[in-house]
Amino acid sequence: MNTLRRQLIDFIDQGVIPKEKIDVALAALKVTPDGKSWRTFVDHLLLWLGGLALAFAVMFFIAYNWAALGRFAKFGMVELFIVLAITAYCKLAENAIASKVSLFVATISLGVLLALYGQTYQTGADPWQLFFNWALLMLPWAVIGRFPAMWIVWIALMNASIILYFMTFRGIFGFVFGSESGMLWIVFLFNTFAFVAWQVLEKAWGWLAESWAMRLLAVSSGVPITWLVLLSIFDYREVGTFPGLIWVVWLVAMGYIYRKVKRDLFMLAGCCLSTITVTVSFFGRHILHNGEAGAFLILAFMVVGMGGGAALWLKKVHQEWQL
Amino acid sequence: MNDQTKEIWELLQASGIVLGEPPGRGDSSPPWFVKALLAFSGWLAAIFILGFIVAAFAPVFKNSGVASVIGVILIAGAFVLLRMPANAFVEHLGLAASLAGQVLLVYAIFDFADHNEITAWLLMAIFQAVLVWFMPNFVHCVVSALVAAIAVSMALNEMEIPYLAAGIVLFGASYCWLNEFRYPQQMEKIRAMGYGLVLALVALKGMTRFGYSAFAPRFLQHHGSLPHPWVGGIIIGAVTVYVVWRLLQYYGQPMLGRLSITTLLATLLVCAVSMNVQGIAVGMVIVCLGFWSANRVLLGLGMVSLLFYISSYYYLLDTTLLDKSLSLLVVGLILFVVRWLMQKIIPAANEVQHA
Repeated sequence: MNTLRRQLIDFIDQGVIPKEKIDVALAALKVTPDGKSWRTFVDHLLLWLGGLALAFAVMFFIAYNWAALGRFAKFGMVELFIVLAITAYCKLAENAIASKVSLFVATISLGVLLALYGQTYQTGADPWQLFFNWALLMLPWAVIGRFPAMWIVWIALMNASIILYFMTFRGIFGFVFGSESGMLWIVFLFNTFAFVAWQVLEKAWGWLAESWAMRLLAVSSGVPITWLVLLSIFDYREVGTFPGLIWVVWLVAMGYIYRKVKRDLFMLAGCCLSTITVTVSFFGRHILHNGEAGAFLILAFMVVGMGGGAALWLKKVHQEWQL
Repeated sequence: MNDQTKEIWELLQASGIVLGEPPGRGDSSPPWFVKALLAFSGWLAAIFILGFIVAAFAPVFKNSGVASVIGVILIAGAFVLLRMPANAFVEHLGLAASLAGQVLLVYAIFDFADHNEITAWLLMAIFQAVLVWFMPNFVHCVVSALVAAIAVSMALNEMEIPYLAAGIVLFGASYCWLNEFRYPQQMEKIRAMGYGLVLALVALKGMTRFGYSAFAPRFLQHHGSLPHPWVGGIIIGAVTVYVVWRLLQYYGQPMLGRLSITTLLATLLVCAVSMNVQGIAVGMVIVCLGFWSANRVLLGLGMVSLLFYISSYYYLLDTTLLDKSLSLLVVGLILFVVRWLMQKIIPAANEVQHA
């Protein structure tokens, strides 16, 4: 829908569509949706928001930890809600959206059940275990659900458990990676693996081919490696040059794949952003010693030059792909 | 010209909207993330320019008069640069110079207002509104509209009516998106204002967790609670009904027709039950406007707004988790009831005809 809209805007900007015919053009190109599309959209919106509102209602209720309600009533309530959601999933199998909403609601409620278990029995478990067990137990639903949002939730839960695990044990991986950077390395490796796996598997399973999910995974891979490079710039003794080498490999691979193999301007823009951040940080670290005015001016021009160059290059690539 | 553009042109030709040969390739606008990159590097450069000014001319920040003069010079220079024919480097420099100038001028405004924060925030909002109108750059207009909306909300906080902000900004955003194509000459400006105001809404709804107790602390010290906070909910409800009414009008539905009355009543019902969970209605309006204008960025912002709101709502201190749970339960059930009614009244095989 965005291509039609963008093209129509281009035509209007060029003045080839008279003002009085813009509404007709919007309808002719189906930029503005017709009655059928509206009905489907409102139906899906009400279903998703309604389902999520109920799931969050259960979550907030359990978080309130109402003393007047016994633990069996609480467990019964959450378990009944999960059973209802799964029953709805089975019954509504022919309605793709309704079944997805049901499974998603059941997934959120599963986390609530695990939190309630920890809250009631004070198991002494660490917070990372909650997220890890949640990810583990929801895995079969993610497999049968076959929709990207469920897998993104799974990856987010795994990220949360890795971060919390690291915060709890402060680096059982310490002997390999050092202290602070260990968590970033593990998050980077996990997310990059998920990103690559997603790219490979989307060819076999078409339902994985959602650009928003792939872009989110690219960001989740790019942020930790950029962060690691920044750590190596500002605290060299802590991290060394290794992150810089991996970052260059990551950058070259991303640039080549999304420029030549699989066109995606978002990925290239992300690479530009990472490059600007790292370069400016590197020079900032080395020339901004005593807050000299000249150093600030050099950095300002450097950012303008790099930002302008990146925008120019991205625009050129964008126009090249449009031909 | 690629095949897709040709196809679109032929479709427009077949509908009698355009005649003759398609025009040459225009200077198509880059995607949102390229503009976001531009905004990011503009800001970063502005910080270094400010660093340069502070390091080279330290007295600037000791005298608001000097700060305002340098600020105005920088903004005027940026205006000249941004009026020049499209050039990415010049555009970046213009953005950076303007943002640095704005920081200096805002410093001068707050100094001038002499601790009268209402005046300061209102002056800042007016100043940003002037920039939205005059600055010939899309990214600049988005940032200025965002800052203007935040300044208005801060002024309302100081006036001890913080709950009005979301409704006013939502109205501004809705008005922009509903009239996006109405003034072709100003289309880009209207779009930039629309994005800026929606971003402000996402920020405002994301800050819900702080609640009114953080927005108007001095007032609460004296009075204990804010009078009539439900007015905010009513304004948001009124804007939601206005948006639905305008959409029904667009599709040529008679106001007293069955579809219009049912839709408006359902909207009223949803607004009434979400009075305590206002972010849901705000998110729904943004998502609907995004769907209506086939604008995926707006659609995404609506979803982000809903996501931010619900996570922020959890931490809101003004009400207990039990009350929040009850509010969400009622909203969820009513949304399902509305969906069920919609399926009964407008069966899938009998959709509304496009006007």
